[in-house]
Amino acid sequence: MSKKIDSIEFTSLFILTFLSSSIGLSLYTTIKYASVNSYIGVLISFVTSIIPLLVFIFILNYKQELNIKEKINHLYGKYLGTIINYTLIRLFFIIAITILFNLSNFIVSQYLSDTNILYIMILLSVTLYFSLNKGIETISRISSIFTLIFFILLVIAIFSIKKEIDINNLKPFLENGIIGPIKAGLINSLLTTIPCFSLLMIPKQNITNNNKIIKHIIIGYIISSIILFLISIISNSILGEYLIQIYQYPAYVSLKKASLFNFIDRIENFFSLAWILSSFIGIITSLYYIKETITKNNKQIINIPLIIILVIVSYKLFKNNTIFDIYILKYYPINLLSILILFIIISITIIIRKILKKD
Amino acid sequence: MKKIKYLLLILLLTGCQNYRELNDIAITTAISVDYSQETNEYTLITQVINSVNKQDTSSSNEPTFINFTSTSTSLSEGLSQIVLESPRKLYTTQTQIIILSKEVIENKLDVVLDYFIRNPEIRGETLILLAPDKEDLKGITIQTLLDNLSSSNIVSSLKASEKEGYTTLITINDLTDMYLNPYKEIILPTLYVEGNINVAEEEENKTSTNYKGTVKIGPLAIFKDTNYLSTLSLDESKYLNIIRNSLNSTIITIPYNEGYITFELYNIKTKYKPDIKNNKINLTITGKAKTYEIVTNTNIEDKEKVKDIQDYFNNYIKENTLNTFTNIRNTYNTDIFNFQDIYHKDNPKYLKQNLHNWYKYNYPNLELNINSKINLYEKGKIKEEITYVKKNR
Repeated sequence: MSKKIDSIEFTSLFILTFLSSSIGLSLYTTIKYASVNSYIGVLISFVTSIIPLLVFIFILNYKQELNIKEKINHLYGKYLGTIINYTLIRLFFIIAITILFNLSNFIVSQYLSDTNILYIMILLSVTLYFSLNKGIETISRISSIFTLIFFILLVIAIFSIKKEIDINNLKPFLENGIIGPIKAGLINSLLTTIPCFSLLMIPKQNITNNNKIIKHIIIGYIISSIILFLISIISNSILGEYLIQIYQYPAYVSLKKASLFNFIDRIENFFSLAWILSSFIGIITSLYYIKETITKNNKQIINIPLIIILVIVSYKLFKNNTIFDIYILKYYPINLLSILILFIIISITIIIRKILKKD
Repeated sequence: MKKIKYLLLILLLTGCQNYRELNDIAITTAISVDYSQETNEYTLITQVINSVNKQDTSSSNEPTFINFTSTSTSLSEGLSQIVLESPRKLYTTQTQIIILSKEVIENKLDVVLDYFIRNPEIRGETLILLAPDKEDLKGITIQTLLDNLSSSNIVSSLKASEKEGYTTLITINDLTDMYLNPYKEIILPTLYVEGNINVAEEEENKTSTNYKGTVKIGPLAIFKDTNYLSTLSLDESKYLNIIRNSLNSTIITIPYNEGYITFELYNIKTKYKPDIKNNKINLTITGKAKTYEIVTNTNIEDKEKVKDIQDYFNNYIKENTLNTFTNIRNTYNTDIFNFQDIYHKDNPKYLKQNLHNWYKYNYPNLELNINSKINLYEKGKIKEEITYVKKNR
């Protein structure tokens, strides 16, 4: 089967992976650090995310016929390359278990409170397994459909919630200084951009119309950032300074106020489907990265053990919400930062190589 | 192998996990909560839809809802203990209203809010009302005619009252915000029972054109911290809503030219411009008004007269709004107008540094400048006033 995907499909993968943290992780951390000014944190992250984005584009453009695993092996040789690749596998696996737990926890805490979280994880993992078996072409096609659904749901949600927005709730402006929003912005840029590095597993040459891909990625980045900013600003303006800090998923709670044409109520679950779709893509791109690094020639034998380990680790590691919340604030950003550092080192190596070649 | 995989998938997708049959759940539409300091116990009354009603001829005369009462030291236990009496487990997702007694708000508001806001079955948009007296908590046990469920009756009445400006809709989220926000004070819509509650609970209450007992929506109750202070009058509630920018439309009658004019105000918006350094808030009221009744012997076809009425009307609104503010402030010294919150949002540092003794010095000396710019827009179906036409032609 050919592994060619369209540049639009690649961009849709980028957008949904970028937004996979928007369900809880992104808003939760920005609110923790910046309170009601979390939207300023999201604005700051729009600027700070440019660095990881440039690293991503730079690595994507290098040796366009190779995927990231092959690029690393090419740059560092087989021994060191394998070590780096397996380090990255571990780090992307952490991203996958985090998003899986976050998504399952969201479903259990908000609509299926009587259901065991393991049951939700298994249900999601079955879907993940089937998608992973189908390969990147199917995943990217699913993603482009999901992106369309995401945008439609988002537009309807904003339309149905606009009368509840109270701009005064966004104040006070920088009550505790700029440090909080800066911290929030930096962590938010890690949460959103780092999972996208899993897309480097797709060689640029495998993308049709790849001459437009950079432009599409930048457009995708701007659109995703605007969506994230809108989610943050809407949640803040609806819930206000004090309510937003007590809810686990404030964006979902704000959606409870949505009413279409003043008579269609209780539609928050329908809208929250958008987040579920993006989280799903976020997990699957990380799993695809792991699978492609471990196996050769798209072998599917790894998929079942990979999914089983994913579910078991996610279920066993996060014993409760509190542990997960502490982990999200303290340890998860470190994991993401280490991925960024590794890719920055890879970029520097590429630059040095290029300079040495020129000399 | 593939077939086995698909069979497994079918088993997973049936949605049978923890399902609950409709016949096994007691759909709850209203909950009233009372608290006794002596016994440290909550008394809960729930209204549950009688799903058996009208399924066949034998059950058609049964009441449309059933009330269950339980007493316990915790809310969760109180609600779960209802199964001791009811054959079905409470299903609270459809709860429309929660009625709280004064004792609950004064002593256990944090506990009650924590339970209701944490419970995934109860929506943050559920409406909250205050029962000023213990007897008023039984408002959800009364049989009503226009709505089968007294909770629906209360909700419809509450929403209609809100549209007329007599009250404000307060949800669990709003109440939590008012409770958590140190710069806000609590206000709540009230409900009270009128007539004979014992007869009102019977099905007979629906057989007469006049209710023997009924439940009514009252004006807004005001608090300082969690202490109940008073229930405002209907007029005070209207002007309070104007100041808080929570009034959309209302009816106001002004005395004019030895008669009176009644206006319907709509699209009312209130904008604040705080001047924190001078402890002053400039308030601008905008919107439109249409005449409902004119009994003044005035030629309302005259442009100058209409302008005169408009100026008089705006002045009347300004004076009454200011009077309401001054009366409430001087009598109760509670900032239910959210002015401290406005200052906090405008300049939190200045507020913390200079206005730290809000109720002792700052609030009593706060200056309110009101500017009413309501535009008289419509006169209804006729151009002139009947009294004027009769007397002058």
